Amino acid sequence: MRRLPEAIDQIVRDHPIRLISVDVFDTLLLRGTRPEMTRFADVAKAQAAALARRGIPADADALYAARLVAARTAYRLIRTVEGEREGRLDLILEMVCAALRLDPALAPLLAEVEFDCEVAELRGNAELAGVLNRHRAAGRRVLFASDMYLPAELIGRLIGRLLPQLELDGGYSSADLGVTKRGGGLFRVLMAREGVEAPSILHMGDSETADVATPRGLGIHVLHTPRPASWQRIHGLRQKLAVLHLRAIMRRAA
Amino acid sequence: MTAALASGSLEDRSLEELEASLDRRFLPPEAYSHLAGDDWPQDGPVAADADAQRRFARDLLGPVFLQFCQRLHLATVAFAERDARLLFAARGGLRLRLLYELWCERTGTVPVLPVGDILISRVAAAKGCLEQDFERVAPMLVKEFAAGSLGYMLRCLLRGRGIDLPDVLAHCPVKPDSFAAVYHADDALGRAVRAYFAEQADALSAYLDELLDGVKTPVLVDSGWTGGTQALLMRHFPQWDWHGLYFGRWDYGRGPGPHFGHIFGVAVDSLEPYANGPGQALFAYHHLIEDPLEIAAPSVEGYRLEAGRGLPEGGAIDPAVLPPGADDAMFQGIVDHFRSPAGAGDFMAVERRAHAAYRRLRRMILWPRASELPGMQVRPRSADFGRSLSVPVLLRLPDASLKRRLKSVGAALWKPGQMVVAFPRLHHLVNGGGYLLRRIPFAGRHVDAALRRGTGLARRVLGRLLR
Repeated sequence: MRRLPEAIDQIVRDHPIRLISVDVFDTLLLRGTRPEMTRFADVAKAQAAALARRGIPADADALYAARLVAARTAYRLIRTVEGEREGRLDLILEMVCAALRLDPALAPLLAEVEFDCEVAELRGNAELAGVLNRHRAAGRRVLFASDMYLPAELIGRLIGRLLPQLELDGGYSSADLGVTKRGGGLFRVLMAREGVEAPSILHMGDSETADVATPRGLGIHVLHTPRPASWQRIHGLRQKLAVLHLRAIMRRAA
Repeated sequence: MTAALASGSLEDRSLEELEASLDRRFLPPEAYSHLAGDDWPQDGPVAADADAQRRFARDLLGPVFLQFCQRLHLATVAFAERDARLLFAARGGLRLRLLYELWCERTGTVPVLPVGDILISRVAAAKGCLEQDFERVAPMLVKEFAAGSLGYMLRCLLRGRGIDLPDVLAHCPVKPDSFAAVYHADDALGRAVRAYFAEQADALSAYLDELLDGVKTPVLVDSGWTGGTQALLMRHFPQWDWHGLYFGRWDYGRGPGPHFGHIFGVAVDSLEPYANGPGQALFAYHHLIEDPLEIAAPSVEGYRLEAGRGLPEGGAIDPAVLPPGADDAMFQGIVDHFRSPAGAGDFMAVERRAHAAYRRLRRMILWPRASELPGMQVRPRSADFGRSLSVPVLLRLPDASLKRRLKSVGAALWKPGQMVVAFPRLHHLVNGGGYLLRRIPFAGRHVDAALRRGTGLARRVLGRLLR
């Protein structure tokens, strides 16, 4: 397989690309093999510690369980936009506060702790950032597009902390828009707001559906950048272990 | 087809006489059910034990309903800024409201949304929507009365209207075509039927206008499962953004309906087996959830217009029927749990108790022991849509033939329970095997889907063997 910089260069050389859109998580910012559930468990521990420092007793297991219930609920009940639905961190954390009978004013604190945990968990893809900077210097616009419960402003801050050398022209998050990459709505918004036609866009990312199949269906040039097979195997195994860990937590005597 | 409107023929006989005559001529389809053709005894094989039922409900159903109330409250946060109202749907939903308010009282919680009731049923909604969309709604109405005659269906729908029906309808099967022929006919009966459904449409519309004044997002709360009533309301009253928070969402293996995006299974969801694995067992005996919520009040079967207001036929439901009555051992057990110290427990304690209860329930539903049947057996289940069918969940075997035993398992509402009755020695092997298969980590969730696919084949093979 060609190396990523060469693959991007070739598509840009062969097509009139004016805008490069890049997925964020597991593309521009790389995670370890810890699955989402395990990360949530660690975030819950950090949130419990942060609350304890303010003199508010909170059980990390309860924060973790409430987060999982709230995420499932929020993703299913949030208002639809053009038939699509996407979770939002602020709603999820409001639900966590309601479940644990915490003051809703604590939701921003919980979000801040989550941001710090994400910074510690992620590392920037410096090689990709270098390529993107080169193309931006050549006159192309570069922005991020993410299907994520975090708002674009927070994602932008994450990128700024982990890839300070990367220069972006903005970004879009499904959490703000309510429409997603996997459903295609986010790409339609991106094209309309940026005033760029699909054949002039290159999008790259790790998800076969959200970053490849859907944008390709809209006529956007795509580049699939999956995580290595060994990473995916370990990630899958750790996901199963996380499920067993959750069961063990739930089985502790009430 | 002939019909004589009351105004024309009542010179000779009173309205009461006509109604009595109709009752005699158009009998309810008591003999028609999925048990048709068999002489199953009316009584069940196992006597219910009220004390055991109350203990069972207190220890297992109580934690499950408590978790439902907690998660319902959490879900309402999503509607906080959407001009929403939480509407508990009659009849089962009214007891869910009682439980939710009890949970709020025990934990000192203030509901996020304004709370109210909606007196509705699938038949009432179907009647109110038929005039606008006959082609789509009529098959639903027909399906519910398919076991009887067209005459019985019209008798139920037009009760008290003083409309005579020709005797031939007592022998006319209920099919979309036969109903359409009557509905569209340019005769007295056709006009009367159309007038009835037009009145139902106006009355339902008036009822909803008054109930939902100032509300943009009605959020229905009920036991579940497919949200058929909500689907009708979503289609015919699109001025409101209808949502449903049900105890469970269940697609009956048929795949999601177009309205499923607006339905949320708060406790269990057949389309999300990973969300509450042990809870999926409830689909094998969902009557455990439905029966305790049954109240001693008739179903809302239509609406009437009174001074421009739409009111449910039969009036409001008496609040006195909501608390547990003498025949409500299971609901009493659930309320006992809510009133115990556990009822005021914190989030994690409630979740953990529910998790433990779901795991025990899964074993007891899928692999019950004979000694557990008296406490788990719910009351005979009755059909809605004005039909007076009553079916025990477990069937007593009038003889011990293999054919009879197999049929009883196929026909019973709780199949693993019926296995215990029909095969006292073999049931451990069959039920235990099914239970252990479902317990296989990460693969167990696929067992039900595989069994559903295999059931069709098995039924055909068994059908041939038993023929």
